[in-house]
Amino acid sequence: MNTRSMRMSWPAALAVGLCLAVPAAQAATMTVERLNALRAASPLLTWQANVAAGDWETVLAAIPAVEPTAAPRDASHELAAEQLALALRQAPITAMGRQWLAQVAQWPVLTRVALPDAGRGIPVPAFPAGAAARATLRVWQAREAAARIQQGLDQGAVLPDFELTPQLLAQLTTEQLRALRDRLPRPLPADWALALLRVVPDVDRLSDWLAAEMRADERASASRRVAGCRFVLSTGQAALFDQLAEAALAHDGLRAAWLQALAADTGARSRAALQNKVSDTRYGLDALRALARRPDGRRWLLEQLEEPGLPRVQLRRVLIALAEQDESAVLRDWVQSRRQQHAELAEEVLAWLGD
Amino acid sequence: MARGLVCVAIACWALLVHTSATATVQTYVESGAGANEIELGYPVPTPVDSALPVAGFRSYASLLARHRDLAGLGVIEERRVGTTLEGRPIWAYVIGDADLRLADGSGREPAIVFNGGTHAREWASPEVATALLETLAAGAQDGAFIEFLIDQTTIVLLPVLNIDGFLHTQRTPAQVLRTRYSGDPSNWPRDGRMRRKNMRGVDNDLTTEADGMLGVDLNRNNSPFWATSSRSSRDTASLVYHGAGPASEPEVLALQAAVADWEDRLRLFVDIHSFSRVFFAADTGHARRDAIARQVANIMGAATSGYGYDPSPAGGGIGALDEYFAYRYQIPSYTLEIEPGAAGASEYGHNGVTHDGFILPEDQVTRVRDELASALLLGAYRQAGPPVVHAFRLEAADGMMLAEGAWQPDGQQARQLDDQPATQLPTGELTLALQFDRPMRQHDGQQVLQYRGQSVPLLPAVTLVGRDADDQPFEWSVAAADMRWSGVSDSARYRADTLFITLDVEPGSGLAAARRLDVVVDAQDLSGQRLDALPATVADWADGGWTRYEDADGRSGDVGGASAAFRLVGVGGPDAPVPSSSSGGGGSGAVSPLLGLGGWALVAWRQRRRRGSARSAACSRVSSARPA
Repeated sequence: MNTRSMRMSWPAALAVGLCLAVPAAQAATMTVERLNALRAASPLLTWQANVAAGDWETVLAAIPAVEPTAAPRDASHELAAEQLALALRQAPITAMGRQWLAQVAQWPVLTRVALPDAGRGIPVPAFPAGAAARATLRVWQAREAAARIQQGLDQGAVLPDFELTPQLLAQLTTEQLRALRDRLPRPLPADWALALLRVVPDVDRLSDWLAAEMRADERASASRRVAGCRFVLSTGQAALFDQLAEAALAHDGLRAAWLQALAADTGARSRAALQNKVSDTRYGLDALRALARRPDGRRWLLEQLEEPGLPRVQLRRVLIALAEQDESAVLRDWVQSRRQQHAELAEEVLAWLGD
Repeated sequence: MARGLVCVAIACWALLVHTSATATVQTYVESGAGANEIELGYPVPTPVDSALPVAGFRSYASLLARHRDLAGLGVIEERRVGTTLEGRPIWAYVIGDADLRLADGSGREPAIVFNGGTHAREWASPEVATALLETLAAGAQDGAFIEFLIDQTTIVLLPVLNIDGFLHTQRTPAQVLRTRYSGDPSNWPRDGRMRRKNMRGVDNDLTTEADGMLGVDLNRNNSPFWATSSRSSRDTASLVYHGAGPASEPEVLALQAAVADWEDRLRLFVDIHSFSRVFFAADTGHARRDAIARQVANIMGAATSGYGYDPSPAGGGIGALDEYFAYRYQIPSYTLEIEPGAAGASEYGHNGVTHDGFILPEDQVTRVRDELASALLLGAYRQAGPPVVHAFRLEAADGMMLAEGAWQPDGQQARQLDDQPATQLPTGELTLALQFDRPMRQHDGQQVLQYRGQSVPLLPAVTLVGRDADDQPFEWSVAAADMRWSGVSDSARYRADTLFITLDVEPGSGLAAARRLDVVVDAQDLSGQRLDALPATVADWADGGWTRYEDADGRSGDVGGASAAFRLVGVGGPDAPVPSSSSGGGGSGAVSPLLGLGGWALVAWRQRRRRGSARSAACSRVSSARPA
């Protein structure tokens, strides 16, 4: 990185950047070389340093230089706007900044670049200024809401109206969430409900989270469900365990997450819960796989292999689960001893082993 | 071995020349980005250990367990078709019944190939490929669309081709390595979650900078255009490095091995990628193939939320897998780029990080899986071949069979008609059942529906063409109100495979006096494909187009037409022509003058060979299900 350019002020850097404007203002696909040249000469080299240094005065001073026209004039205008929008995300909120962001948020994409990454070189936005401005506005909105909430909490006043967005959730501290636990509007989105559960792990908060996950949720996320189930097990609270187990039985979307969490939990109750599901037509395989990931569960699976009356589907699933855990020696022994009884299955197992 | 080490050493040296030592590990977060964090604005997907589909992405181990579990159901066979560079088996799944013949035994089953997981970071691809397997397994006995595919096709599916690369992305699902590289056309990260290529020359440690850019792009490693384009590269560090030679990579060889048994019957190939919301394809310069490829893409696209079609001109290419299949086999062949479109996840209201199109938000995954499995299977249905009116039966109101007929297999690629027309129609309400060889419409148990996104006329055009007592020609269009598709309980083999037509034969009417009466059907199947007008010759695929797929005039081509295969009344003499106006939808029921004789029906007539004329079946009681 050029240290001299790092010392360049925002307006000066922008002036340099804007001088490199491409001539045509209509939407265009630029070459990769042109894109790289623009990026190399852009204020990108300075804004990161200014943001890192908390030099918000310099960042805000750049706003007038990047005119919030109805649409980007050219590629360098669009690039400068994208980077300014990103730089403003943590900057002090000002009326001028908000007005600028609101205008840029309406921008259509002007400049595209055909990278090999997406599709067969399909042109993607080179400098998505509009998207960056919209994202920054969402963050600003969340920061303002967080500030109003803190004010309300400080004054013991009625809380202001606010939208329960992921951006606002990210702004709130554990203390704020704890203070808010009984004062948030219901129903809660699942991410909010889980955040509250993490802060206050009790039966009520778990009910809220489960209810949120069971509703048709536009923000459905298997990753979040797994994290939530793991958290509940990590509390070690029997009441929460039972409550979650019951909910997971009733809700398909939670059951996979529940089984995955049980696999990572070392408790005897978890193992028993998994053992209860192994004959389930739909979820039996995942229960067996979860058991196979636990040392005590794997021992139990090896015993199952010796069970004479094990239904074929279940036997096959036990073998699948053991193959996943690279239990080659066990599987070869099983083939050796049961080849006559289960010829077809034995051939399959040998194929899995590459024999 | 030594030669390989030298190559890797040279590659590493070349990479070091290109790159500075400033590779940075960055982390994806949903909100609140700090230093070296990339804020997506939605939950960062992590692989879930669930064999069953979830609102998100499954781990490779879970996908494999799922595939294996489904392979135990009887219609899916698991085959090891290769081994990755890191020694993992590459699996293909062959879905279909065991006979490899069409359901009526008349011809050979076509083969359809779907490939997923070519590029490691495109996690939506193995999910869609697995959804295909799940849909086929779940519907194997649905008595409808899926069972037809099982009966009539062989589907070869590779859910994850680039297994090593896929696992590499899943090891660090929220981390990427962004490396400065002078030959890099973008500043997008390349390794970790954003690895595209296979693992040639790459270790499993994300933080090792020297190998972060290596690997071969499996979608540039193919003939006939290997290393012929500026959109592939000889630079080992390039995102589109084409490898040491065509099919130099074990993954590409595995795909070729997977189709080896079906080479003479391939009819469709789809390589599933992300992102751009488009079907890419390569025109081959074969006009018929190119036109069919466009039609099939449009049909599949109509079943999606706006996927386009973007063929590249004939004569050039980039070394992609779809080009290999298009040119080598002259079949419709595509690179499907899953959503989002070029704007990435900002399409869903998220932050619009430049490369976030590769990270489909979890709340979109279930819909995308369902939508694309449905669209791709419609492509398979389309390429299963043109529909045929397979049989007919005419019954009186009391269930008495008056006339019947069916096409029977006759050797490997032919059928012959085994029919028994009536000598005269009785008065009263009669029911004519026309049985097709496939589900012609969707039926949800309550009503007849279009297939997702299609706009095929719900009812076909059916015309009765004949000669009256004075030997004067007439034709009679069946009104829409007098037709209905079969449902759950009264279909022959698949739901909505039989069209029931009510004929009200009044005393003294033309129908009652008809000395000869043929039924002419102009129908389109679920995908809008018209009938093979001459079922005597079994349609197949060869050299980029359909063979023995005749239109109403008996001309073989790619469009088909109205079929006048069945005679309801009378014997001998010239047959009725196909009405000139038949084009789908119910008619008025009015009698109109015959407009002349066409050539097709005569051809059809000469193909007929009557058998069992002394059957007593003409007066037998019909016990099959009757229309309500």
